[in-house]
Amino acid sequence: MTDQRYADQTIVQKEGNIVSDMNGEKVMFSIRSGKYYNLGRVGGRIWDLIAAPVAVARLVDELMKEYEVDRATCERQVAEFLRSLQRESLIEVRPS
Amino acid sequence: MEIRAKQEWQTPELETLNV
Repeated sequence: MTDQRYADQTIVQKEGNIVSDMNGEKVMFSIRSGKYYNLGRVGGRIWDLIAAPVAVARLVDELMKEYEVDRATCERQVAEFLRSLQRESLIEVRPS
Repeated sequence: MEIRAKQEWQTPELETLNV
Protein backbone atom coordinates (compact mmCIF):
# COMPACT_ATOMS: atom_id res chain seq x y z
CA MET A 1 0.00 0.00 0.00
CA THR A 2 1.35 3.44 -0.87
CA ASP A 3 2.75 5.35 2.10
CA GLN A 4 -0.28 6.91 3.81
CA ARG A 5 1.20 10.39 3.89
CA TYR A 6 1.42 10.46 0.10
CA ALA A 7 -1.25 7.91 -0.83
CA ASP A 8 -3.68 10.47 -2.23
CA GLN A 9 -1.25 13.23 -3.04
CA THR A 10 -0.01 14.83 -6.21
CA ILE A 11 3.61 15.95 -6.35
CA VAL A 12 5.26 18.60 -8.48
CA GLN A 13 8.65 20.31 -8.55
CA LYS A 14 8.90 23.76 -7.05
CA GLU A 15 10.42 26.36 -9.32
CA GLY A 16 13.72 28.06 -8.62
CA ASN A 17 16.22 25.24 -9.04
CA ILE A 18 19.04 24.84 -11.53
CA VAL A 19 19.58 21.21 -12.49
CA SER A 20 22.49 19.58 -14.28
CA ASP A 21 23.45 16.02 -15.17
CA MET A 22 26.88 14.90 -13.96
CA ASN A 23 28.00 11.39 -14.89
CA GLY A 24 24.42 10.17 -14.97
CA GLU A 25 23.55 11.69 -11.61
CA LYS A 26 21.44 14.79 -11.25
CA VAL A 27 22.92 17.70 -9.33
CA MET A 28 20.77 20.66 -8.35
CA PHE A 29 21.28 24.17 -7.01
CA SER A 30 18.44 25.75 -5.07
CA ILE A 31 18.36 29.48 -5.74
CA ARG A 32 16.09 29.93 -2.72
CA SER A 33 18.32 28.25 -0.15
CA GLY A 34 21.71 28.48 -1.87
CA LYS A 35 22.23 24.76 -1.29
CA TYR A 36 23.57 22.17 -3.71
CA TYR A 37 22.08 18.68 -3.84
CA ASN A 38 22.91 15.38 -5.49
CA LEU A 39 19.77 13.44 -6.36
CA GLY A 40 21.60 10.43 -7.76
CA ARG A 41 20.35 8.36 -10.69
CA VAL A 42 16.96 7.15 -9.48
CA GLY A 43 16.33 10.39 -7.60
CA GLY A 44 17.12 12.28 -10.78
CA ARG A 45 14.60 10.19 -12.70
CA ILE A 46 11.97 10.88 -10.05
CA TRP A 47 12.76 14.59 -10.36
CA ASP A 48 12.15 14.39 -14.12
CA LEU A 49 8.86 12.57 -13.60
CA ILE A 50 7.54 15.28 -11.25
CA ALA A 51 8.26 18.14 -13.66
CA ALA A 52 4.48 18.19 -14.13
CA PRO A 53 2.03 17.32 -11.35
CA VAL A 54 1.79 13.55 -10.94
CA ALA A 55 -0.04 11.31 -8.47
CA VAL A 56 2.34 9.33 -6.28
CA ALA A 57 0.67 6.04 -7.24
CA ARG A 58 1.28 6.82 -10.90
CA LEU A 59 4.87 7.82 -10.16
CA VAL A 60 5.45 4.43 -8.51
CA ASP A 61 3.82 2.63 -11.45
CA GLU A 62 6.15 4.40 -13.88
CA LEU A 63 9.26 3.62 -11.83
CA MET A 64 8.28 -0.05 -11.62
CA LYS A 65 8.11 -0.17 -15.41
CA GLU A 66 11.64 1.21 -15.67
CA TYR A 67 13.43 -0.43 -12.72
CA GLU A 68 13.82 -3.87 -11.19
CA VAL A 69 12.05 -3.25 -7.90
CA ASP A 70 9.04 -4.68 -6.09
CA ARG A 71 6.09 -2.44 -5.31
CA ALA A 72 6.48 -2.39 -1.53
CA THR A 73 10.14 -1.37 -1.71
CA CYS A 74 9.46 1.21 -4.40
CA GLU A 75 6.57 2.80 -2.51
CA ARG A 76 8.47 2.93 0.78
CA GLN A 77 11.68 4.35 -0.66
CA VAL A 78 9.94 6.83 -2.95
CA ALA A 79 7.88 8.11 0.00
CA GLU A 80 11.06 8.57 2.05
CA PHE A 81 12.73 10.39 -0.85
CA LEU A 82 9.70 12.66 -1.29
CA ARG A 83 9.80 13.44 2.43
CA SER A 84 13.42 14.55 2.10
CA LEU A 85 12.52 16.74 -0.91
CA GLN A 86 9.63 18.24 1.03
CA ARG A 87 11.83 18.97 4.06
CA GLU A 88 14.07 21.01 1.76
CA SER A 89 11.03 22.76 0.20
CA LEU A 90 11.92 21.42 -3.25
CA ILE A 91 8.47 20.01 -4.05
CA GLU A 92 4.87 21.02 -3.70
CA VAL A 93 2.42 18.43 -2.36
CA ARG A 94 -1.24 18.78 -3.32
CA PRO A 95 -4.30 16.64 -2.71
CA SER A 96 -5.10 14.54 -5.79
CA MET B 1 7.15 -4.36 -30.05
CA GLU B 2 10.32 -3.09 -28.40
CA ILE B 3 11.07 -4.67 -25.02
CA ARG B 4 13.43 -2.59 -22.91
CA ALA B 5 15.42 -4.18 -20.10
CA LYS B 6 14.66 -2.75 -16.70
CA GLN B 7 17.40 -0.81 -14.97
CA GLU B 8 18.91 -1.67 -11.62
CA TRP B 9 17.10 -0.01 -8.73
CA GLN B 10 19.08 2.12 -6.30
CA THR B 11 17.55 3.65 -3.20
CA PRO B 12 16.83 7.28 -4.10
CA GLU B 13 18.54 9.63 -1.68
CA LEU B 14 18.85 13.40 -1.47
CA GLU B 15 22.43 14.28 -0.64
CA THR B 16 23.27 17.82 0.41
CA LEU B 17 26.63 18.80 -1.05
CA ASN B 18 29.16 20.83 0.89
CA VAL B 19 30.47 23.01 -1.89
